[in-house]
Amino acid sequence: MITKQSPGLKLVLFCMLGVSLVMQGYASEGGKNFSRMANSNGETCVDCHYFMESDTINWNPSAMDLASRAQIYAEDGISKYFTSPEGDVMKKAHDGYQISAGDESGIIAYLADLEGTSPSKVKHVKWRLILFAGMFVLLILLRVEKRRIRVLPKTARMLIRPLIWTVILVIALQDAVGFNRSKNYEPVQPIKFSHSIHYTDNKIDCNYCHSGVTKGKNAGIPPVSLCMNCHKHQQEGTRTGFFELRKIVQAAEDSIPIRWVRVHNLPDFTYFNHMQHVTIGGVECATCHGDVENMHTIKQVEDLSMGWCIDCHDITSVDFSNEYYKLYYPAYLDSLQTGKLDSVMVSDIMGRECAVCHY
Amino acid sequence: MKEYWKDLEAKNGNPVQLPDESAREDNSIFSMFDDLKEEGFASRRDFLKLCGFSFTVAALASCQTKIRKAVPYAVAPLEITPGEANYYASSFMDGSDYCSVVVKSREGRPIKIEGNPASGISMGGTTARVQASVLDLYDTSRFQDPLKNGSTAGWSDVDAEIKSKLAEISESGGTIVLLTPTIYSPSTEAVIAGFQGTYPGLEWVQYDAHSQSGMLEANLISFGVKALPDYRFDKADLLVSFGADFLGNWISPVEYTKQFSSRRNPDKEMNELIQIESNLSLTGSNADRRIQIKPSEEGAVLLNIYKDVAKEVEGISVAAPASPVDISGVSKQLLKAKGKSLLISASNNKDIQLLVNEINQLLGNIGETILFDNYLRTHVGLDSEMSGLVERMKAGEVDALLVYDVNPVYHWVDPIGFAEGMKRVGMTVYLGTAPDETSELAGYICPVNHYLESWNDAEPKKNIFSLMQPVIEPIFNTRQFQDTLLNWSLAGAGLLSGDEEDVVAGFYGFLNAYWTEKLMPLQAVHMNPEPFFDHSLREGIFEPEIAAGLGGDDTSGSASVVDSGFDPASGFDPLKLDLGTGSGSGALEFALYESIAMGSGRQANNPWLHELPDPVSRICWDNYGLISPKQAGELGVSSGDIVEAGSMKMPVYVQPGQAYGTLGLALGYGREICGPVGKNIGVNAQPILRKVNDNVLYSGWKSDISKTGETHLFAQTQSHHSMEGRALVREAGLKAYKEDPAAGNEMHTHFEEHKGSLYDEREFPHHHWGMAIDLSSCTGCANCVIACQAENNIPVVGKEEVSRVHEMHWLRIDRYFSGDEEDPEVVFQPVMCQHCDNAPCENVCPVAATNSSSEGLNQMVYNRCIGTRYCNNNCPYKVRRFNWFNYTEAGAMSGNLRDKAEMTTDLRRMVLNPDVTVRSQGVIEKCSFCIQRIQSAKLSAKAENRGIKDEELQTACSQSCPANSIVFGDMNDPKSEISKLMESGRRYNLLEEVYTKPSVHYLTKIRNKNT
Repeated sequence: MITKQSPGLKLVLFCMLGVSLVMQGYASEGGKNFSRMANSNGETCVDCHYFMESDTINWNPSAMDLASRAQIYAEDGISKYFTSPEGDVMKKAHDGYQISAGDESGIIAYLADLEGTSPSKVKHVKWRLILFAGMFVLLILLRVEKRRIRVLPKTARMLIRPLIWTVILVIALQDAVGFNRSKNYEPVQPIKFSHSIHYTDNKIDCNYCHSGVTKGKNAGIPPVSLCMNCHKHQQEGTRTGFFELRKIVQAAEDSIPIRWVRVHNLPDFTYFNHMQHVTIGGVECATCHGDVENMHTIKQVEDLSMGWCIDCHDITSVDFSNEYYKLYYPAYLDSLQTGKLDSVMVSDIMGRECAVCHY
Repeated sequence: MKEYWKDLEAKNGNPVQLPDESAREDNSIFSMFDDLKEEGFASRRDFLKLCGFSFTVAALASCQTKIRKAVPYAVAPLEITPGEANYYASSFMDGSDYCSVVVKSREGRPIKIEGNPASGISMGGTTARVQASVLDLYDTSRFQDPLKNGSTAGWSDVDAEIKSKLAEISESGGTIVLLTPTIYSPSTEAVIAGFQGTYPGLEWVQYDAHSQSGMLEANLISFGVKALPDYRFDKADLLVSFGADFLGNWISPVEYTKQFSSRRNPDKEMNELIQIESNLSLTGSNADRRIQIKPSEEGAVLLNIYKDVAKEVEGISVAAPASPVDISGVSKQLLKAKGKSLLISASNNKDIQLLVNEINQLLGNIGETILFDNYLRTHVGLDSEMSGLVERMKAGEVDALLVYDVNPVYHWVDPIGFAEGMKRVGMTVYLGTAPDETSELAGYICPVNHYLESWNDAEPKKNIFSLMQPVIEPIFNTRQFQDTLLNWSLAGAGLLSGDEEDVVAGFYGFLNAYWTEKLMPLQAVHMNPEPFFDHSLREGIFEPEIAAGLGGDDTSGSASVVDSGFDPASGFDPLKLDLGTGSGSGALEFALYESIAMGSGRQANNPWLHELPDPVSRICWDNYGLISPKQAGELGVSSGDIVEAGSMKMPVYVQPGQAYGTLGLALGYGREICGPVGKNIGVNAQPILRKVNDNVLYSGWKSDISKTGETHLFAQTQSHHSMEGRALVREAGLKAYKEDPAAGNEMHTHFEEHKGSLYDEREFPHHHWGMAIDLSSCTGCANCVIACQAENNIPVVGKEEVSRVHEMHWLRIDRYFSGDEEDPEVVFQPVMCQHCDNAPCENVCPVAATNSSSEGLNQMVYNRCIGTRYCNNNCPYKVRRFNWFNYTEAGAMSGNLRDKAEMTTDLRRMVLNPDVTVRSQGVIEKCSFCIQRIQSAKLSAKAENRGIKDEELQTACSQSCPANSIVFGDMNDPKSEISKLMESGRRYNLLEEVYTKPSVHYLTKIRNKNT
């Protein structure tokens, strides 16, 4: 899907996808089996290999993920995943399934049909949009009422109408301010990579992978070769089994970079340098990126707006032990030493000037 | 105060013509609805339509936020930190043009060329063409695959076919000819030697696009060396140049500009330049005295000087015709500066060069300002060899022709003859980067790499070496020339030790082995090959200290033994010389020249260069016939009229300072087969060339001229913003300067005394960035204009837009004339945003999109700008530029694209600097003092816990200035160079009477004159 914020388009696509899924799924025997066959716990294939992304991370490969390997299944068959599952996660999940040769080819054919599609997102009711549109409907109703029905007292009308406009304007204003900002953006990534597992469970420092953060402008996303430093030895995940890690191993073998979805975007006219903030300013990663250590999928927690930047510049003090500041801001240094000032804020030393970020 | 005038209309009191009404109409935003223009004006309804359209587009565009991917490396290269630039030393080699450079690379893609300060030749300077060469790498018209008879073929097929044909011809005793430009790379010479070894009888002809054949022949007679000497302009007190534009295009302009400008400081011993020429060249514009002659008069003038010098030095009296022009005092001055003068001529007439050598010998300049220890190796092409080749080709005596990196069907004096000859050659192979007139006729095309994709070395001067290294993998399926030759040679051919591994490693291995074997012994620091090669590669240069005459046992393998002694026994008789008095008939003599932007025309598909205004005429996207104002009056033509001369049509431009009776015309234009940008721009002057005594003569041919009645529109950048009657450029003679350092700058004190402002004085307690431009040393070469364009992602707008005053250059070079219109004095003045402390632009911006920083910068915030252009209107310097159209395809709204030069293709966009915003339509932009560099320098200072060093902070324009005229730094740092210049009596600000308090300072121009 090409957009993040186009409810109408998404709705149409969603309906189309749903209809086509239903048509395809029940048209083929494989599809029937895929949603009927159950393991010893009574779970069917679709219970794990989902069609729809959930709000919380689902560690299993989706049906579409499986479909991307349909070619391999066509050659090797899928019965081996039931007779001799790869690793603990799969073993547990596939325990108790019975698969016949007919089922197998049906499911493979069905998966081949799915190839190229991607799981759909859970659709939330857009209460805000409904409220916004509803206000206009209310306005129309009010007018109709005034012209034709006339049951409301005049004072009620006089109260309701400004109220409606207030709601409309507040929503419009909030949306305009938030326009093109992507707070809470949490896209599905090509690999179910969890910062929480890596940082919290395995105690890998942020710097190990995002090594550019102390060296320059970009923090950098690690190359596959860096992942392989560990994953050469660790090819099975505790939650995802072999499926997700195989993507890394494959990418490393083929030397094909992974196309992650970029979460934190700044506009092209804004210059931001990680080294300035992290190495010189001593800002913690979490200040801007939030509680990454507990995120399974990475999410933008701040709106990255200019106001947000400036607010921080206003309340963050400068480390005056740096010779650079001592040399060029002697007046501030003096005030600090004589105790006239507690601290010098970033906004005192150009932190509010345009060309610091815009050029 | 001196009176300056900007062009002839202004001089003659005519008002400067504004573009007429129709042109202005065309300016309107409604021109996007082309069909509406027929009715003349757009109506209110059209306006509403336009509004509706824009709102809809804006609304549609706003609904979607593109999902952006973040794609890391699969395997990260060790030296690359994403977001940080790497710098690699390399060498720019384009035919005979050489420059040692440092290439700035971001994530593996070269984006900017800087000068290499370590080089003893270019000394950190570059030319506009060197700066623009990075854009040639991303040329969409380049060959992408080997071609056979016009259709794509694989390398292995092409290799096999060519190899078997070459072997066949060689075995049957046929003739194979390899035609190249001058090869001054020693390892390439060795590769060619190996290639010759594989195919015995293979002939190698070297040919220069702009021939120096006459001088080579003369030097062989006079000095016994077939080479150009090592001129030392810095050692000469007096320079007399006959048409040699050594600050612009002549032989090694960066080196000569560095040397020349080092002697233009009035506080030290200043040199004096006398330029005797027909066209008003860049060098002539900088001359202390300029004498106009017709090309045919050069011999007579030289003979007169010879007469005086010979009489004084040797007591011989020579009969010489009366000098056609007044050259009084020149001989006397030359004699006074014996051993410290330099007489040069750009003529390609051997006899004239013999005379020049004789005069220099009599003046004792040989061994002083003309040296042969490190003679130049960049020009060895003899026109006679080329003539011979063409004759033999025409006679069908050549069986195979391999053409590398030269374009004789365009450049050679007899292009039709060469083309005919080429058709009679059995097998023709072209090895070059992009289609040209010669490749069009070749059977096989074996595309070669751009220099930024290649390994190579260079020995531009004897025993002064440099390395070229690739900074990007070949973009297309190309292979560098040396690798191709190695492939076609026998395994191990040309190798020194015959190591099989080197064959596998290709030319890189060959180069490595060559340096180890031949060059490592010339130094004593590194004893092992790897450190030696790596060190040289890092520096980009290798300049061993070798005692004169030793010559490192002749590493070049081809040059003759150095003998810098003048040979008096050459039977020199001045009266027997054929000094070329001009032939043909007609009223005018042609004087062909190479323009600063286009040179010989090898970079004809480069939009940056096409849009670079000529320093003197200020015209871009064209060449034109130059005639003197007097001549124009007689002929009844004015600038823009199309005339017919020498059986070709060309527009004329009336050029003050053009010698009467001459018609100047730039070479390098009118390319018929070339990429889409340069195709059919201007007229091709090559057909005018003639041969005399087997040497190509560029000037002196007579022709009639007639008016055709047609007119031509020039894209000229100067008459747009007239700033007349004010002391913008201040100048004085050396004598006056010695008496009073503030000579010519007297008004500065006056303005200082009467300054005053309604506003409070601003203080800049931390940094205060400033720039000083020394008008004395600035030659106006326009290197800074292209450096700025490359650094700051400045769009190309095309000829039509330039003619509508929409050019986008942040840095322009204003040129002013003073004095007689037939013989004016010229001054150049680079003007960029002056970063005023009291900036008039800031007060009028309704959205505060431009404002002052606490470090004295005038900041321009594109994302705030709503495009009212009030700031532009209120700027007294007219340095702000408005994006009238979508030149870059940046920004949310698509459409309305004006990209005349394919600059928005994916390939061309690779040249963009990621640290500088690509501006979208509807915003103002201007010089930022390269704030990205300032911020970067501040950051590294903070990271290293120190202050900023004065020398580490350079703007794009100051870094590569070949004249060291631009100094940038912190005016608050008392030790910085800029602070010292601030104290100079020569310092003033542009329009200081309006008290804008600019941060750009100018130093008065001091001419070496007795006034």
